[in-house]
Amino acid sequence: MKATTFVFAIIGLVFFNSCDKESTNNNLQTEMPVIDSLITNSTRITYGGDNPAILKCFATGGNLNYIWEVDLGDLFSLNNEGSEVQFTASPCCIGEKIITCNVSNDKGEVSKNITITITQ
Amino acid sequence: MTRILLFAFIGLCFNFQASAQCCSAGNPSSDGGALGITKNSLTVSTSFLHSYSDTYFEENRKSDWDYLKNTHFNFGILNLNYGLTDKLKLSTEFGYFIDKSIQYNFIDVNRKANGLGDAVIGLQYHLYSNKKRIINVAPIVKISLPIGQFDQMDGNIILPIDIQPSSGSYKLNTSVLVSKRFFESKFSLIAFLSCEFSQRINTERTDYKYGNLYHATLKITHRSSEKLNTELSLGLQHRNKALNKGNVMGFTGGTYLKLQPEISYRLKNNYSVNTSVGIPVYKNVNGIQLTNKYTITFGVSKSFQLKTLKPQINPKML
Repeated sequence: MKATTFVFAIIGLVFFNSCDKESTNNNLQTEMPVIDSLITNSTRITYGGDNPAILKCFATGGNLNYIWEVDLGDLFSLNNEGSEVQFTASPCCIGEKIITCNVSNDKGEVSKNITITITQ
Repeated sequence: MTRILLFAFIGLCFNFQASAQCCSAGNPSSDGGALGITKNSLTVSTSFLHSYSDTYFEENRKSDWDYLKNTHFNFGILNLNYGLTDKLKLSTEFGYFIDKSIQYNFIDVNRKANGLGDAVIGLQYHLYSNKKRIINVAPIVKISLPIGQFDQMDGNIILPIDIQPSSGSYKLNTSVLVSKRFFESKFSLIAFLSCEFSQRINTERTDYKYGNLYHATLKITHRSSEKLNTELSLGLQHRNKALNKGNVMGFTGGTYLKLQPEISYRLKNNYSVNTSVGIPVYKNVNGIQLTNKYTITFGVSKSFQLKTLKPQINPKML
């Protein structure tokens, strides 16, 4: 009887511990996101896929989601976090293109723009 | 009844013609719809369109430019045409992109979108009918409403406007349909002219205006049997250059000439089926652009004569 009680107690302890761990993850401390910088290796690129502009967004706040947008041209995510992308464009998109990085978490959302010029 | 069937049959053949556009946002342009319709008659038609583009052109010659490997889309459309009177027809159109995708040459990414495209509502008026010469003229006005999706994402990237299912823009399309038949001949001619004007998209993300689109199509129809129609149309399409933030986009717009053979077959119970293949035979684009290789269309249509409800109580009895 004592042995059975002891085994159940151990199992219970393990399960309670597991629940505690999950709860800790969900309650990750977050703050209003702040974009420290949005940088690129090149603000001027020629159209085509050979010489993409690499963009990186440095932000703080915890548990961040990155969403990138541009009206014309092609963005491709380069890392799992989503904070780094490459930008290329077909000939149709010659001119200045404004790329926006939106960063959000449960506390709010901020965004920052950068202009890349597509040349012939 | 024969008249309804004939009109529906002609309409089916003309209901949906894919333009040679490859990856523009919004519904592929459709043409005029049924020529004439009788009061209270309803035609319901649905079409499936497949379009494939993989060839770059620089002006009117092939280019070895290779940014995109190909683009294609599979598109479904539902058309409803209703005769308000013997001369006035109301039409609606709803489009859905089952799959719209882009493959790139320089990166192993297949970018996809799907969803509701634009809705179109139109009016057609049977303006002129000459029974001696068997000529009919019908002007048409259509308005496209961007009810579909314009903010689809691929992972953490909002897709660019050219792959979004909806055009994001209101459009006005004015057109005229002229038909000519010949006495004791199985041949008939249909001419279709249209202009499409788009409203400027002005959102936080996008400041864009599609170039005006002009269409001229001439179609020869042969009534091969009581149920079978074979057709051949030659369509000229010209699109002006687009505007982005007020600046002309030099590498947009162009002129296409397309040949489109088509077969239509009338089945029992007012059902009809049709299929066509669209092949661009001449392309002259501004700058370098990916151009359409072919389009394939399948359509099914059914016509109904909705009877007017008669009063249940005889007024003389009151």
